[in-house]
Amino acid sequence: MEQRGVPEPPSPAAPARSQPRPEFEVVPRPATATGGLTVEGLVKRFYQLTAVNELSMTVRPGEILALLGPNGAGKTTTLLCLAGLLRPDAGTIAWDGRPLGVERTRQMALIPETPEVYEMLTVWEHLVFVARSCKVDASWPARAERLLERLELGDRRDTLGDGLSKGMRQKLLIACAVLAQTPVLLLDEPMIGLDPKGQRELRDILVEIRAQGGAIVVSTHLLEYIDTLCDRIVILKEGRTILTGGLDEIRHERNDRNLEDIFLEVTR
Amino acid sequence: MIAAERTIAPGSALRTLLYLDAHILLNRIKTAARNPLRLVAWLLFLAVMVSAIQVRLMMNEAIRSRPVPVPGPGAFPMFFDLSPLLHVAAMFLPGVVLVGYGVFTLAACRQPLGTFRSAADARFLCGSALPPRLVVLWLLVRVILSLSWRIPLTLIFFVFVLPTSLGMSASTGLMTFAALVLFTITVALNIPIFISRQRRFGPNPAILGWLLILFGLGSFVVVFLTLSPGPPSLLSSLQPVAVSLPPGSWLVGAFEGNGLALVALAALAATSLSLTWLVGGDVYPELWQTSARVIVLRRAMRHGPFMTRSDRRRVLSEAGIAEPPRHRRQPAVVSSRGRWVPPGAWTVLWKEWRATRRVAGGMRLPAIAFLVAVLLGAGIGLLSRNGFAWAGFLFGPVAYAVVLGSFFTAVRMSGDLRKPIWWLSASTLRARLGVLLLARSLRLAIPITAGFLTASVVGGSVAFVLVGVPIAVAAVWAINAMGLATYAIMPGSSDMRGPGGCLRMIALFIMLIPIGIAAIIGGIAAESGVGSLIAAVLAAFAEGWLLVLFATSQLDGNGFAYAQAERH
Repeated sequence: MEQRGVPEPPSPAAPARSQPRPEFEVVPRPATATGGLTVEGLVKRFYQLTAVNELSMTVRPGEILALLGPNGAGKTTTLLCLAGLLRPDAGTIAWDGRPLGVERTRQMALIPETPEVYEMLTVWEHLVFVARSCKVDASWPARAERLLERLELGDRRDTLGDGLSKGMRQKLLIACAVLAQTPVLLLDEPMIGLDPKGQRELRDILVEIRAQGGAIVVSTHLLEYIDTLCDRIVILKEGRTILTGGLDEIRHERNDRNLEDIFLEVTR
Repeated sequence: MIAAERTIAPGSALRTLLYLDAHILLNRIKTAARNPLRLVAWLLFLAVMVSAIQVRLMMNEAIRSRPVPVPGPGAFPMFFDLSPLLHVAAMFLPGVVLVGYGVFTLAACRQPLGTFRSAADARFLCGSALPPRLVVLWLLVRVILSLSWRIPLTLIFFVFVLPTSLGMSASTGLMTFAALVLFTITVALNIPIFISRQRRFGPNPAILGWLLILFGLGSFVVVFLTLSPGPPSLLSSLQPVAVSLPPGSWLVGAFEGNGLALVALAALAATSLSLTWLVGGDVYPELWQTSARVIVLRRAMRHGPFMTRSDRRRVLSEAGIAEPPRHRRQPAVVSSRGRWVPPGAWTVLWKEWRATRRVAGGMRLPAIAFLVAVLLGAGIGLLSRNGFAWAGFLFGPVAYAVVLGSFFTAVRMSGDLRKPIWWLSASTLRARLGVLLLARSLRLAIPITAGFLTASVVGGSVAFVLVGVPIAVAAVWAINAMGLATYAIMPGSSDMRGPGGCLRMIALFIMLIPIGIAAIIGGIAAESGVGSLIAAVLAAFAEGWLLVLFATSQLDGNGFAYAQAERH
């Protein structure tokens, strides 16, 4: 099902892919979020170069969408546009059917590929700042504590951002993003720098967020990770969508070939 | 969850922003305070500053109590009557300020200020529910404060130093200072100008920019003609208008103690901030794009401050910020495999040479220094040949500038200390530091030597080479060694300017004592100036080497900690 720029409905088989751990509650999701995130005809140019060209996609609440593509395909640019750090040249970004303007920055939390944190704030101060600046409910300290424990940052509460390794910074950003309770979570190469346990925890957290109605967009090169986690994929090449659809559906239509083979074939 | 529900009230948002910056500052202080040596250096620095202010206050008192101001140059530059000169400068100021505003407006049309300090800053603030207008204003306040990082120094200058020289009152000094701060706030106009240009509303600010430049130049020309000797022309009649063009005339007014001028500047500052507030609701992407460029370029410039347009473009495209060059150039770097590389510690010299050639614009500064030195040498040589016996003394201020320049150049080593290859070397750290120091000294020593050689050839006197070269080279070596030793004591980058400079200044004075003693002993022993010179030069080299030994003892086995500490 090769097509360009057509939003796909979520795969019906997707939610059953992986179950959340029942004992841990990550974030309460807003009940009103039914329409999800819709991107229509997104275009971003840098001078003569069109980094993203007429990209359309939908991520519904309770769904994980993987943004795939070779280097320079426009994945990070797309995420930056969604997060409000780049202004698209054309296209609309809507949540629940309502076009989002500047306020989209408040609907989406971005975890960038390079985990940049404030060098002179401690781990806990980051969480305090996020809780205060994102108007998180009063119960946040207990959730923050649990998140830190789960991400093995409990004993690093008072460590400055500057003293954290890349993996720890990544974990801190994950904790901040989860704490911020945004309806949409954007992750750019989230597994890079994480140890195996961290990767496992991140996967579990994402699954739980999905189960609670969160919409997640993950950009990654790790195809095996996508295989076991994501519901739908969008493959980009040179800014254009070259394949989009439900993961199982795509595989089924291509004689149950693995994702790596499919990816290599379409991006050839 | 809709956006409106997540927006935070301005009061609470302001407290949150204060929390962020206060904790960053607090943690920075705590980090500095963990090293008592740094505290001692800072205390020393503060003590020097306070004593300097004390001296200034006493001088100010002395000048005020003198019966009649002495016209013309006095015995000491501090007692010059600078008022007439200042009056002339004040007449030109409105024109200069207008030209500055015009250039600022044209620059603002192209891009806004890079207000985010880091990528984290952008991501945490943009992704928050804080009101964007308030955040943008907050970011601007930060920029204004960072532009005015010299505020304490400016305060000292206007309240203590300038009044001392001009016999002004402290209240006038404070007024001038306030006027300058208000004037700095007008930098906030950058964002409204950019948005107006980008979204095409209101008059074209670029035209306004050119008009401002035109008016500024006009004012400049009128004042120049008025002050030129000769009969008054028609343009001279415009002089009252030319010197009263705001906002430069308001600055002059504040300096003269006019309260209304200060009110006008305050109104201009308030207008700038209000306009920024009006347009600041949706500017995050633009601010981030410029900030990203600034952050990337700042990082790249650590390896070489002089970048060409294509260098900048390459760096930005590598960071994914700008379009890559359409016609990719052949790689400028060619592996030197197969060529001869000096053995042992001398490899460091080879590496420094390679690095100088390969970093962005790396050869530009040495080339400019070389050219300037040769031209100066040729000029002085010509003067000397034509009978100006004092021409050699012109090297004095030049040498002073060189010494001062290297004096303020702080040594940074994290680039080397971080790399495992630096520690893999079979040669001793002492030898490597010595060669590194030599390499860094050569950057200045070569142009200086070339300058003296040129003077010697053109002037037909070997004295320039025989006297000038050893002194200059020894001074450059010793000052670089002092920088290295200071680094071994205080590697923190935030210490380099204040207490680091203070420490280097004190070390310079201490270092001069043995050199002076050596010069006296050498002179007495050889009964000639040559002996004195040789002894002084040898002492400077020996002292430099002792400082290398000191730095080695500190850095050995602890290099990575230094590299880490350098970042604070």
